[in-house]
Amino acid sequence: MVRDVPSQQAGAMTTTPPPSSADPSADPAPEGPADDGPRVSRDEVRDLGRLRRSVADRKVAGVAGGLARHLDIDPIILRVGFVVLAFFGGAGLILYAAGWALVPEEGQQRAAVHLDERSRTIALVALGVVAALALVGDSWGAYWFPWPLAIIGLIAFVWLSRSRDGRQPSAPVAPDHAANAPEGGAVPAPAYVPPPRDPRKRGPKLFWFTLLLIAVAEGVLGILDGAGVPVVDSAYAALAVGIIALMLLVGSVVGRAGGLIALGLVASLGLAAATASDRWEGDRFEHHPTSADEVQDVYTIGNGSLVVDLTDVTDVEGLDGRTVRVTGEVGELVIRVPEEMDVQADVDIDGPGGYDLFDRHTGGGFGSSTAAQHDAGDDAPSLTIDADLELGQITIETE
Amino acid sequence: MSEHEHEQEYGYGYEPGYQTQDDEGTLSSWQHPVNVGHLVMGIAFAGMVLVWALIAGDVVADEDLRWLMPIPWVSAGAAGLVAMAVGARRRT
Repeated sequence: MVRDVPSQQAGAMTTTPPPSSADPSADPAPEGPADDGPRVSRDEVRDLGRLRRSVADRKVAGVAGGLARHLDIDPIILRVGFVVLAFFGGAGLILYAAGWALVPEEGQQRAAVHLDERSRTIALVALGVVAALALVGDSWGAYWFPWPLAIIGLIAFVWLSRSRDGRQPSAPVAPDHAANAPEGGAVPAPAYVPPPRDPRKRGPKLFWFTLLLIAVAEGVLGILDGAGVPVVDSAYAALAVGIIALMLLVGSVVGRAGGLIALGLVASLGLAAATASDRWEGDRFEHHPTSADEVQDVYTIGNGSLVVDLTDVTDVEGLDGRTVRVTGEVGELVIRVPEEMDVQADVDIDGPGGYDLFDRHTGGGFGSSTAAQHDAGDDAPSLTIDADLELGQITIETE
Repeated sequence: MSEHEHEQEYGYGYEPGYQTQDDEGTLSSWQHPVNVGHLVMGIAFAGMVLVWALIAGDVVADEDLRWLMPIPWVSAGAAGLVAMAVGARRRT
């Protein structure tokens, strides 16, 4: 592109040589920093209006390829990032879908959801925040929190927002040698020219076919399910994973199976979640000890509902001074205690959840920790309930 | 596109393009060296579905998941190694 300019100048000089041609020192050299390779400045990175989805370098929709070119980094980094983030609250899927819908393809001015440059930038940043929230929200209740990612996302958001006022104009600046252009010989300003499209078809052809196949198969399974055929919920995810596996095996031989691995990883995650839900969500354990000796010191459940009913205990004096610990991960804990006992309840919920203690002390939120007492009188035996849950609801009631 | 990306797209030993040379050096439009990445993940996903079927059908107990879950990945990895070895042998 840059090399074309001198040739045009040379062609024009043959007819109307400019006076400056007599002085070679006055002829500016057309060589510029273009030979240093494509490097983007901070302003260029922040100018999301220039972002375009790649046509030549794409696995699915060219979002990673286009973003990688915008940031001047290897697209494989972004592809891995999208896939990994897809497992954390679907943040990667949100980001990719946002790019797919909002960012035009290179050579195009309109996207699937067309907005002007400013609105598109705001929408992209907003969806980036939504993805960050999904990422953080997915981590609630876990043993760790992705503070580094959250901080990086926050910094990026502030950086993008703060810099809008001082943004440089994105219009291309005419080169210095334009001043020496001959009369009538317009020198085109250097503008971004997308690389020529590879004539060979190598897009992810099987990806779309597989999506359609999954849609049809899921529909058929849904019809069977609705018709009364016993179909477990996880069968839907298993069907999708099975079809993807089949198409990957076919694609490994005939080619053009790009995007199916990422799709399969997402579907596998759904399969694992659905299977876990099928197998363990309905777990419900109830304990109804009838004597103090039968009351255990600890009751535990993984995921599900756990009911510890102490109201059938006939010798409540035997519980005097004891501590009963009830723990779970995700679900509901219900503890019923005899009304004629003094009860000290200590409740701890690590993640999101709520509690209802003796129908008087209710609350919830993220990371709840509280205590409440039930007073049955001076001579009543006392019992301590220590309830601990990762996520869910804790109820302690008297009967 | 870098060489590494070509490797990602087409698998090991793949010559970019849709025509490849067979043993006689002639071109055929449908023969492709196996894409090892797709083969490995295809087998892994198929194995997951098989494990799911065993669990959902109550053929095996839930506790058996501990030793069943690695099997798809071991199988996929073994198949990938075999495919790579066969591909390398054919090329040489």
